Amino acid sequence: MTNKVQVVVIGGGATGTGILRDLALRGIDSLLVEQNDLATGTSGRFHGLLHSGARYVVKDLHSAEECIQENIILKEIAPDCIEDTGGMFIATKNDDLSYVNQWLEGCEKAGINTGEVSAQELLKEEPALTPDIVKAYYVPDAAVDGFTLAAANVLSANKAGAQVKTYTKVVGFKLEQNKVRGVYLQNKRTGKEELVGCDYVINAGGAWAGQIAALAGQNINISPDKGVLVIFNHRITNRVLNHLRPPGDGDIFVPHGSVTVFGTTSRLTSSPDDNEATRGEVLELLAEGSNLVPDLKEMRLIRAFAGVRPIYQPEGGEVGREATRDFTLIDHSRFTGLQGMVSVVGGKLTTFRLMAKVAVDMVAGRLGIDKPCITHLEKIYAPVPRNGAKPGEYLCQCEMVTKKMLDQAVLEKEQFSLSDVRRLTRLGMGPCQGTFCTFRAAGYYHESRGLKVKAANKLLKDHIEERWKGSKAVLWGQQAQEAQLTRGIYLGLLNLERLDSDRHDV
Amino acid sequence: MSKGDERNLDHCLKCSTCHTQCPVVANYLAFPGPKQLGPELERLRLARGGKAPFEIDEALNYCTNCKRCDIACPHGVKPSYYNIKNKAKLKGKSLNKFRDWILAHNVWWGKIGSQIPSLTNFGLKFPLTRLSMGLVGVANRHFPKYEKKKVIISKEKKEKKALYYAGCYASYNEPQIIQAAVNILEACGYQVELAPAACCGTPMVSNGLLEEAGKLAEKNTDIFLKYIQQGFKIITTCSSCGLALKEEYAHMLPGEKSNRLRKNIWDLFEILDEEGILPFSSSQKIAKAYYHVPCHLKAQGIGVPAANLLKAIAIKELIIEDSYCCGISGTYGFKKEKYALSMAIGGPLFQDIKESQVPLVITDCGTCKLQIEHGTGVTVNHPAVILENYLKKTQ
Amino acid sequence: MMYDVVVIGAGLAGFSAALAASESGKKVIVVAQGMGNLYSASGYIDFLGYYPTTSSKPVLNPGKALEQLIVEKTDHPYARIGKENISRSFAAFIKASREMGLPYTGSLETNLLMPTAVGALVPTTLYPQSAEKDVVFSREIVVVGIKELVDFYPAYAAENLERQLGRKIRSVWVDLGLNVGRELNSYDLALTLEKPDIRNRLILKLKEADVQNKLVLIPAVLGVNRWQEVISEIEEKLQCQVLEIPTLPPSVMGYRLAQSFKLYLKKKGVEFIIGFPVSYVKCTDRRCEEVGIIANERVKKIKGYNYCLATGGILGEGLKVLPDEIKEQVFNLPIKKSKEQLLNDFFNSEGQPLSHAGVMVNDNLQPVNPQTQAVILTNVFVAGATLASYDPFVEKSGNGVALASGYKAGVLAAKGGFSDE
Repeated sequence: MTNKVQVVVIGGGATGTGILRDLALRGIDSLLVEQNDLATGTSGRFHGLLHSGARYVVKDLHSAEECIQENIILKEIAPDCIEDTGGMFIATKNDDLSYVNQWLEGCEKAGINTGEVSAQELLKEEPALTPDIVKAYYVPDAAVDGFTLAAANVLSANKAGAQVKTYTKVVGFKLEQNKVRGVYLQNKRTGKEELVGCDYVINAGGAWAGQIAALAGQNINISPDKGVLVIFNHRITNRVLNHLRPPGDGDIFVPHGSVTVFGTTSRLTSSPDDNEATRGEVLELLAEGSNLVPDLKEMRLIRAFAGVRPIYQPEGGEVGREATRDFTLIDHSRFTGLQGMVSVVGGKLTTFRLMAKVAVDMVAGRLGIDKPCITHLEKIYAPVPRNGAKPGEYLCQCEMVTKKMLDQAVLEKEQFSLSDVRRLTRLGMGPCQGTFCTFRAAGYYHESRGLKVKAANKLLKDHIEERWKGSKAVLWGQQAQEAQLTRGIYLGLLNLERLDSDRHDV
Repeated sequence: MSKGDERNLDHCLKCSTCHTQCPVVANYLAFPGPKQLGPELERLRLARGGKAPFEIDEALNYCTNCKRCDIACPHGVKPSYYNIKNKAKLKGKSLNKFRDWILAHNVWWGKIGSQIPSLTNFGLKFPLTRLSMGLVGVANRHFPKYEKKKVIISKEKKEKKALYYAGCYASYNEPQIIQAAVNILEACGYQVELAPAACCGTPMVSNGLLEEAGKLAEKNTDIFLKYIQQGFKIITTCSSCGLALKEEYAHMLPGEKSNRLRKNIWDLFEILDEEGILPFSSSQKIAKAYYHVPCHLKAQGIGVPAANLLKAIAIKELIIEDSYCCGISGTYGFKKEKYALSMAIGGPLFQDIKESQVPLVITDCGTCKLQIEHGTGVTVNHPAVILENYLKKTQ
Repeated sequence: MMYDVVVIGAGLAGFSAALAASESGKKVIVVAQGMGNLYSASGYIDFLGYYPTTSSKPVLNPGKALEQLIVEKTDHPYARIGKENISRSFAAFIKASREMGLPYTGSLETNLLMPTAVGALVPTTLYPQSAEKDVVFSREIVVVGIKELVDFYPAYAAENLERQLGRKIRSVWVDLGLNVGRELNSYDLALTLEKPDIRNRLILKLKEADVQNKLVLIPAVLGVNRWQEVISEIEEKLQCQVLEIPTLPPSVMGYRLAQSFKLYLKKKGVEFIIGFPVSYVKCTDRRCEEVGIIANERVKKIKGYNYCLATGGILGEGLKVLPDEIKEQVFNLPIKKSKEQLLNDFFNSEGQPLSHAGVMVNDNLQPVNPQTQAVILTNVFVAGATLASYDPFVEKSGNGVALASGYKAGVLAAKGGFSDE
């Protein structure tokens, strides 16, 4: 691998990978670095909603317009990553109906198609909904898989010659005469450091963008805004469900594969790494969601998590939900004179492609390259396709994951965790939360990848630990039972907790 | 989904206990089993907007609806609920569909057949009939004889009122059961009337004709509720009819009506047990017999009231067996492609009966009877027919 | 109808209680929501594998360790059961297991180290006779996997075993050539191996793997009902020893125990109503008068003189975890639990506080108020995972506690006529 590229992109979320792809399709030699795996920040920790924009029409019309434009483009270019479920907005008898009119006006202005549907008709199709609906509209929302999206961007970028380093942290910048000349990187697994020279750095670190910029002496004011989400065991509604009221906590349900993601909350937090949901937060969410889905508290929760919205806060701006969901391109040379670095901040996953385009337009211009953006013209594909698997091949039956998919997920990786595999395949994302498939995957990889047995044990244990952490906040009802079954298997039956303890020698 | 169906797929922990109790799995390995076809498949189906079925859906045709999975689940999931619902959405081979339709409407054949029993019974043995049945996919096996008999009922008005629902098998093939049940009920002080209702719908349910079964259920429910309002208890002697009225109707027509109905449906021996009435005298006991608990009786959660009575009154040594399914599952064992499987499922039961060397088998279910007689050659009787002989001769 | 003893729950604790009660000639009924969790269990009966809470050395003499435990951990269910009842239940089970055609063996003085599917060793006290094989001191070992089974990886298990035993262990795959069109679990394979042709195929493949004079470790799939026949056929034809390794659920070894035990109890005259939870109880004056299942909107009442509560813990649904409390499901008995519900690490040998939650009992296994120790119901005896103050999974004591407490509960319920003490 060369240690000089034209552009280094920092951050492996939707924006970063989108930028990498855009650069690569314009023939710009680029490298993306990500401190963890792809889409492990906010792009993997959100509700998985591809906005139609309808949610923003009252507060933030400009964002709404961008959303609907991108919504149409992404459905076209990324069918592997998007399920076009459609969406609905419902107002109940307790909601302020004057808001409905504002909302309808906004949708019209933004060019978002809405179709009114009667409560009676809607309830036939979506029996889980409250009978207290007074107004309901269909909108072109959809579900998007952030993990697959980032991976598909990278696959497309790779084909065009771009490189990616995951589990690689930026530890510093090489600056010469107030210009970025390179990036110091550290491999998190090996601890090895290296310098990669470059002409330009695009900081797409999302909630971590401020920390990254600080390494170059730049100041970006990001107010990390924590949103808690929960995952239900099954699909509650067929369409994305939005509460038709001013945006608030617990008003979005997204059917996602075989599960439902429900959220969110909005609380300022001190750290972008604050991604644990608490039991209290979950219970607050459930109380709110029961207004739309009365049986919600009876339904099985399999997980809770939190993501941090990277809300950019120019001096004196709004914070939290009141803040704009618009994005900003910061050309650091304009503020501090530092050449060779731009930061993309704010925004939302739905508009990642547009953000990438704007950033790359600027950087390409600086580099004297005048190729246009073509990211809206070419399709992107999931590296691990989900279709074509047949019964008889599944290793994880909850989510229909096959051995072949496990192979595809680790194709060129020297090192990987089962969580990396999970993000590409949905391994262990179903109701049993890895109880059955984790052991199988560890056994399978031990042999197929020739892993040392301790590495296979670690693969297994890390994944069970990771699944455990994510379910702790919702460990009651069936999921508490499932956790005891998991303990029964991994502790009781397999005696794994003492396997690698050095004191346990016969 | 997802109106919080009590004990729905959310309760499945994937332990596969149901899988180990499925008689079809045990005899036909390609069958994916209740966990996969039930809660697992339903969850994945919901993930596809409840629309397109999966490849393995065809396997649903092999579910016998014996409900052993429902009982097995340590966590109360009812896989059969999803099986029935999704079976109705299958598009099968048209010939089999035609055959299933014929078998599902046994009530018609019963009505016609029992009018002139001798002719029908002759016809069922006639080679040409058998050949044409074979062509549409009906198994080459003995069919139940059709029989007609006038039932004698007392006209005396009494406070305790029973509406006796005989079901198709007793009505068309073994009317002795009706007379026995009526006699027992009258001995318990009941004024008895025969229910004007038609088939309970079980054959339609298991053949995937859910919509039609639903209409039938609605009609029957209305009839029964009229009687219930007048203070009647609805009494059954067929385990499958009883289970249908108690459970399937509630699934097909969820709501107040079916709840009111199910509260008033009683198995004949269940009501005797509940009221603690014993109109029997324990004279000459039969030395030894074998009692087979029908799967659909097990699924009612009422224990084995008939067996307990038989043991107390009529049989010295009664072997009570509830471990095996006989395999017939109503119309299932009459289908050509399932006949061998049906007999294989019944295999362990037949063997157990033969090894027990009993002269008599007793069971509440008409089709269980057909299958056991077919599989063992041992005489099978309904408990009401046996117990009727032990009624006190005071009246 | 009046029963002498009503057992609620169909796991090992419930079966053990039914066994004890029926041995004293009592009229017994078992009522349970479902088939119980034996079908997911290993089929081994571990009394105490590791001394609680964090010991990493396996207990080699469970009898001695239990004596110490009874003195030191006075809250532990074993302290309530007592050594004498542990020994009695042990003997009663061995006797019953022989009569049910699934003979178990073992000694309270010795734990055998059994290989697990991942290649760890787990100490266990009671095991089927066919499993009486010493892995630690045995000759050459060959670990065999079956291609059709997704739940066992021979090389993985072999390498972990290798590290612990300090010698080379060979592993091999055999392919039975079954093209069934779906994934097969252990139970499915066990069904196929009852068929002579498939069994011969396995024997042929094993022969090719050169297993003569070796100890063959193979996942527990060697027959559902006729495993003794299958194992001895392989051992005789190939002049080897065969040890089955319990697998992930559905566990064939658990299945064999559950099915044989249930059939045995039925033959002893124990009645069963399975498939409906007990969701009605009538208690007056600190006595349970009757319980009932609700089937089809109607209560079916079941009356008994005494009751054994063996509905299990959180997994078995005897205890239900709600966001802010834990509830005992049948009698709504008070629960003893610690404040902290969950530890951060899944793999810790301390045990989870959640697992320690349960019903507190006195020396008669009658439920008591955790604060005042007052008896709540005098004719209810609690057994198994419903009991408080232990974590079966890390101490490897689940089935031992179930068996011993079930037995004691059954004996006490059969005696009847108890007051507070």
